[in-house]
Amino acid sequence: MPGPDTLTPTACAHCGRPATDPVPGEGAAKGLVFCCGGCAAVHGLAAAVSKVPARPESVPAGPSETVFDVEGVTCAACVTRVEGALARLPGVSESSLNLASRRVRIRHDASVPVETLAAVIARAGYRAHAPGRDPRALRRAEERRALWRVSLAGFVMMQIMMFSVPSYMGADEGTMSWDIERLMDLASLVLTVPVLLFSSGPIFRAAITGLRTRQPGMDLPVALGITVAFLASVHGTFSASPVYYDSITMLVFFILCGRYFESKALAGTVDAADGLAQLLPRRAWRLHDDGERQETDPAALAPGDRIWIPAGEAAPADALVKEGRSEFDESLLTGETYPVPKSVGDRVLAGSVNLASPVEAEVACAPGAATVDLIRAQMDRAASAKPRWALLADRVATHFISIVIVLAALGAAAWMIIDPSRALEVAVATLVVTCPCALSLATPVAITACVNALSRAGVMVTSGRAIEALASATHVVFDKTGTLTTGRMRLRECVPLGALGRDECLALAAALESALSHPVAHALVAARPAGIAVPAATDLRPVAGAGVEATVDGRVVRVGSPGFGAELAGSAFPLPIDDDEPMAVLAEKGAWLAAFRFADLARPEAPAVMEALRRRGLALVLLSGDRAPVVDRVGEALGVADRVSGASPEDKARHVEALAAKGAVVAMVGDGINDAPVLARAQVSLALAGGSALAQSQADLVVANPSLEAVVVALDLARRTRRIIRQNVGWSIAYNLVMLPLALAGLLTPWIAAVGMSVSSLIVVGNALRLVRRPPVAPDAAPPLRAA
Amino acid sequence: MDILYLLIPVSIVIAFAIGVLFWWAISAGQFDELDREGEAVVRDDEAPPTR
Repeated sequence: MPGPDTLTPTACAHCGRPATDPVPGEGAAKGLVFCCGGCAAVHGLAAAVSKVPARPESVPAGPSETVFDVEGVTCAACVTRVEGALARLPGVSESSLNLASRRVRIRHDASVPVETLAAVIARAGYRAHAPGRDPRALRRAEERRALWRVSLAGFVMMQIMMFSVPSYMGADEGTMSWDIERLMDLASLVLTVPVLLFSSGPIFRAAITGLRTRQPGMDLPVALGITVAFLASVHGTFSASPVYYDSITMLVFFILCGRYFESKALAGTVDAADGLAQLLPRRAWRLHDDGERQETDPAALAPGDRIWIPAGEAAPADALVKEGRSEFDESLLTGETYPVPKSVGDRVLAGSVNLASPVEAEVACAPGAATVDLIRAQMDRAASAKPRWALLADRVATHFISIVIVLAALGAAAWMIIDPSRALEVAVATLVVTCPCALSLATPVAITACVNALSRAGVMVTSGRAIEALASATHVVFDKTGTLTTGRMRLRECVPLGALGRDECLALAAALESALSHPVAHALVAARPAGIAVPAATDLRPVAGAGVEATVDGRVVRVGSPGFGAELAGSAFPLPIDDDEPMAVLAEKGAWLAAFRFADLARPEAPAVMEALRRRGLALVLLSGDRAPVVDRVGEALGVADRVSGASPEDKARHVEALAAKGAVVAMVGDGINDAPVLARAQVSLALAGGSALAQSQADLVVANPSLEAVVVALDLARRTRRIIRQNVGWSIAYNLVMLPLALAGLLTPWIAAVGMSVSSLIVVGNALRLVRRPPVAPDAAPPLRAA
Repeated sequence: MDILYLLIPVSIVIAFAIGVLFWWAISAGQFDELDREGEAVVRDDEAPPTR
């Protein structure tokens, strides 16, 4: 195939044939023309691939980005506190801490040392760790400590209840001697002290940090309640007035219990992202020049190293196959359920499992820069982005706490007048029962769950805000027909013109074209009928820009343009020639045999997906740079009435902006690489990209497994996420509005308040986790979705 | 009833002993993977290492 530089202006920039009816395509501005739509499409793709930057521009040169795992984060107030402390540091432009993954992402000037950032977090009362290769060890230590705190509180609670049984049974009225009663209270005191010191340690620590930074968290009212009740009990122990040790330990137990289950559940969703890291094998096999294999640490591999990937093991790095042929399971990376065949020159992705036979490969990326790492980084970033809802909830939660403390004090004062013996109980119950935590957990948990559920369905979310926009989308705009179609020529029609039947014609054409690499040749070879042997072609003679001639079974046959065939057939082509679609003819000496018409057909799943989107009330728009007849054919087949054809990228961008100006929320679907400017204009963009293009796309959502079904899945999940967030916020508000008056009215004991608060948080978390548990709903029609 | 003067302090000592025992069990990792032993019954034996 001649290179573009050897072309005359009238030759096709892709295949070199004369472009008698030039088709504009990618690079039309540079004077490139194409002989047919197929060439234009293929050239566009090839150009796009070579244009892709070697590394994604996620880390800008000037500002830099640092990530820490933060220990000790328990609720949204902690998030505000850490973010606030970082924001006050000069040079930090943005920081966001994800409550679920406890990971903070800081954008800052490169001049700010990482140590300073860690110190600022430490001063706010938390511990920052560099995200290690194995974040599980850290979490396990924390989990063990949490379990110990819960069980200590639970155990002591039961023991203290036993000591309290006499008082429950009405022994206060003097059936028990004074010294026995003191002994019981003293024993309870001795048991309560470790619970206060150890089990409720984190509560007190968080409360003190909150006071110091003037950003009180949900721990402050709880700590206040515990302290007041404990001081009153100590006084009671020595002065024979009522004690509340049972209430204190119960309260601590229920709160810790709730938190323990909550963090367990959250760890499950975070594991989905960390699970990707676990795909990477622990060892790699380096090949030496003498052919010897040596076991090494995958982190020690450098680009250019030869490695050996045995069957059954995962590739340790992104690598190019140099020898051998096998199949790799990429399902966890791209959502592709079928094994992907790989032979020499193909790229295998780190973490994909070699299913068939050993291959030798050359490492193609530095450690930590493999596709899987980039995917993880993007997931992290998406999960830590905060939609507007979350920001509002955070603000409300902070004010709420101060209000609660004031209310508790007022309640206690009122009860001092009504019934002084119950004033303390009411105050403690009021402090404990309110749950701003549920309010601020409501959104981040749902977003994290949604990001993880989508990644299981093969959709990478690169911006957490995208979910919000996608849920409220009113228009789905498909950019260019290549998104709705496969982007490959396929045989649409074969018209036999002579003595031979359809199948024989196809077999003959396949015999001639099997050695060629033109898109039309691929289409003809792919269309050869099953069950008929392809005859052998000899004397193969390709004629540039016209077709190919060969001898088959002693007959001279030509496949190519109508003019090329007419030379051999000796008569004019009998059918009308439609300029809009590529075609080829089959001719032999003195006779026409067949005409082939080609088209870039719609993806097989496209009709069902269009129908599913329409049923969800979305307006569909097709924006394409292709000529009107091509666009119309695809649009009509799929029932998309709103079509714009022949649009330049500027036209497309203008069209999207016009839609948005009319109040539409536009979700744009494209290939994400050469249509980035158009995608950027839409409120939310989806890119259909496969393989290594994944990490390079700048779209909000990247469909790793290029299937349109994912658009519907993503839309449904986004809508469910929005619904769940609304439910969560609604629940939190209703809970607090109902429980606060009840507590003030003296209808709740402190331990019921603690149960209520814990259950409320658990409901919020559990509701959000439904997004992960239930697999994404398939579009209404077959083929069934890949299992999530 | 005098026995209570002995039994209550003893119960506290026992409570602390149980607490320490439990602390040991947790820090030894006994509760890290509660599903593992249950699954072990149906799991195949460790695959022989590939070369």
